[in-house]
Amino acid sequence: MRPSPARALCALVLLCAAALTACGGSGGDRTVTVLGSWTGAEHEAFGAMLAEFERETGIDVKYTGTRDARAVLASELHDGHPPDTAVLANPGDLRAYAADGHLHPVGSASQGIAAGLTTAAGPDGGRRPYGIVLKASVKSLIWYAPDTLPGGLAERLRDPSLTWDDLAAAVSGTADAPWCLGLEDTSQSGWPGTDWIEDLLLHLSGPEVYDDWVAGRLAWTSPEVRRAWEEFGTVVRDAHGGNGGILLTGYGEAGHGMFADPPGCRFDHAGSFIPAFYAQAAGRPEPGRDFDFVPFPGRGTVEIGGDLLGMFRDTPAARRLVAYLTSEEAQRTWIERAGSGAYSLNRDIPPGDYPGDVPRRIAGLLAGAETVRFDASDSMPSVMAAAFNHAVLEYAAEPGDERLDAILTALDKVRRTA
Amino acid sequence: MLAISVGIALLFWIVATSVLVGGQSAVESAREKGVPAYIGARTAHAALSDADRAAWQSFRSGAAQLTGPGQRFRDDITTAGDSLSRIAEVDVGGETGRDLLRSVNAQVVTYQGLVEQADATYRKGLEELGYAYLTYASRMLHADGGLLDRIDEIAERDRRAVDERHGSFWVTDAAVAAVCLLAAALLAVLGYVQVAMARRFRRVLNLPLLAASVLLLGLTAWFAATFLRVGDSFAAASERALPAFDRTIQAQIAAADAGARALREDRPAAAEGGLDLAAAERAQRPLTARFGGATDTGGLVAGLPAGTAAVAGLAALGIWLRLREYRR
Repeated sequence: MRPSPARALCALVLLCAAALTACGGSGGDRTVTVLGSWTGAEHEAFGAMLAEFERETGIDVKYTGTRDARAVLASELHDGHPPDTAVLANPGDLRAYAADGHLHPVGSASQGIAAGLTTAAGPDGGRRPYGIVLKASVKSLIWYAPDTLPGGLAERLRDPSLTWDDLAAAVSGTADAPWCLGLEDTSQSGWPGTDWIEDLLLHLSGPEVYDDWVAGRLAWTSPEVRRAWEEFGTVVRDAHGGNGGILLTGYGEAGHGMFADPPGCRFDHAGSFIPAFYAQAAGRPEPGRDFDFVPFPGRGTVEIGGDLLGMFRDTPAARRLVAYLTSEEAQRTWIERAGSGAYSLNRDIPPGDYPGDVPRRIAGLLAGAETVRFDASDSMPSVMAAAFNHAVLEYAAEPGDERLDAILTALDKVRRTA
Repeated sequence: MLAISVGIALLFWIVATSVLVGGQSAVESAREKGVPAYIGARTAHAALSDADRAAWQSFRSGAAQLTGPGQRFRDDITTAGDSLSRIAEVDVGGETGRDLLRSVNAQVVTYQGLVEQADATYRKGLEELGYAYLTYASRMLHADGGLLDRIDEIAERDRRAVDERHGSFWVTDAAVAAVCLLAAALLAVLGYVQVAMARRFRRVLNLPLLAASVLLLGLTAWFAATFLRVGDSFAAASERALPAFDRTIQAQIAAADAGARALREDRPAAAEGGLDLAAAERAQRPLTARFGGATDTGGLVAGLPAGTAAVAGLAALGIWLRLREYRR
């Protein structure tokens, strides 16, 4: 039978329609884009999570990893072509994007420890969860090398009733410059100092004062905030390398002094991600054997940092990915990778499931905490956070009372306008 | 015979036109996109290296108290920005390339911000912190995976794009040989027809067929000469002129980096630095000239279809005239 022109035309139309349907379906149902800042090992770990999702759902995940994800996201939003989902470095950005109407609520996907972290006000003023915490790091930790401490000190430091004053006194007796401190970090130098001040304020003055300060309701010149800065000043004065040294030392290298012979410094205040940096020191120190940690004095209160994921395009594939990433299965993929330094806020993962004794104890600290607070500078408006970072560097360069007065007055001016 | 002659002439025209269009497309793509993007990336690298040197020079000399990082620094930043804009205009790397460029632009802004912060702090009397900020800025540029490495990533991508265009089949001698082979086949057919008809019709020469053969020979020679010249010019541009430009820029980068390194370590360094836009411009001239030669096909675009049509027409005319005589 010879095909008639009408039949041939019908067939062509059907073929085109099928092709168009296939193309249209790929956007929302079969593909999801993720923009993030992870490259290298972190990208590999995230890739392992995504591979499992792709295998289970058949949805293709296109991940773009760039260190400048924040700027790329801003540019893509400006162009009107945002990714479906993006990893956000802090709740401050999440709140700003939610208020601008760029983010879509994630429904019930935000659960677990400190579930309220991603709750923000939308453009209509209504408060909803606008993101999920992909992975967390525990910040309130003080690391040391047991072999470099006088006998019995490590045990005393583990005493649950230990106060900050006890710790400060014990530390100052171990060496002339016992604190390891490095404030440099490429384009965000200063944050290791802001972490110090946040931990001091949280543990010395309590979560209510901390919350008021983060929300901009408490003046920087208040006695509580000033005391936290002054205590940080004693750390700076007792830091290995002097003022110039700490300004130019990277946060990841600062603790290497603990493993030198003789030790350059004895104690390092750093988050749960720091073992990966210690592993690069001479002799490749190992957790538990060559170094250990004690929680910041003031048990039951923990400061955390973390990476959040927000949904910029509400598609079925994006929703499925968001739901998957907080699941126990996905979170396990990440935390079970040795040396990842990642901690999950999912309560279904018990501390005993973490690889190694040190990660298990850190996870136990997080799971057992009565009070969990997110990194303050990450939660503040970006102008305030940038001023805070700079102020830390300025104070570290000249840790005197007069300078502190000027710094706190200037920061308070920013608070009133931010 | 008539159908075979016209068919081969048509095939010759299709293949020769494909080589012409493919070759010109490869050359134009390199000239209009790959090379400007590569030059933009290399110039941006040199400008930022020099900006680093200029900023350190200003701080070490004390001029920063009055002029901040200085006019040279600002000029270098403007040059880097312009160069990166040129890369954006030609849009070589698709969506991934755009993301990389966005990321580089964002880092340039951050770098500039750090130097401004160094300036503000230094002028406030916190000299040590001013130098710390300047060190952060330098490390941001020069660190592994830092800003300059990202710009080099763009340059390598664009260099690869130029090499790929240069390696394209359409600009190789093989493509010219393929056209010549087809021309030889057509010439052989025309010769065969000429001889066969001379025997059959006892004529010495078929003038239209002879004219077709001569025209085909001329057209092929013109095509081959043009394309061998295009290939040579393209090779000269990508194998000699582009590396020569690169050597000039690389020398400027090395001078700027050496100066910045010396100043960071508080050692004396030459007052004048690396970036010399006039020298870079001079180094680009041979490149421009070579690409000018590579894009000049000397009227072949019009001559090829007209000549091929004339060859086919003459061949058809020659055969048709004999057949008409025979029918009478």
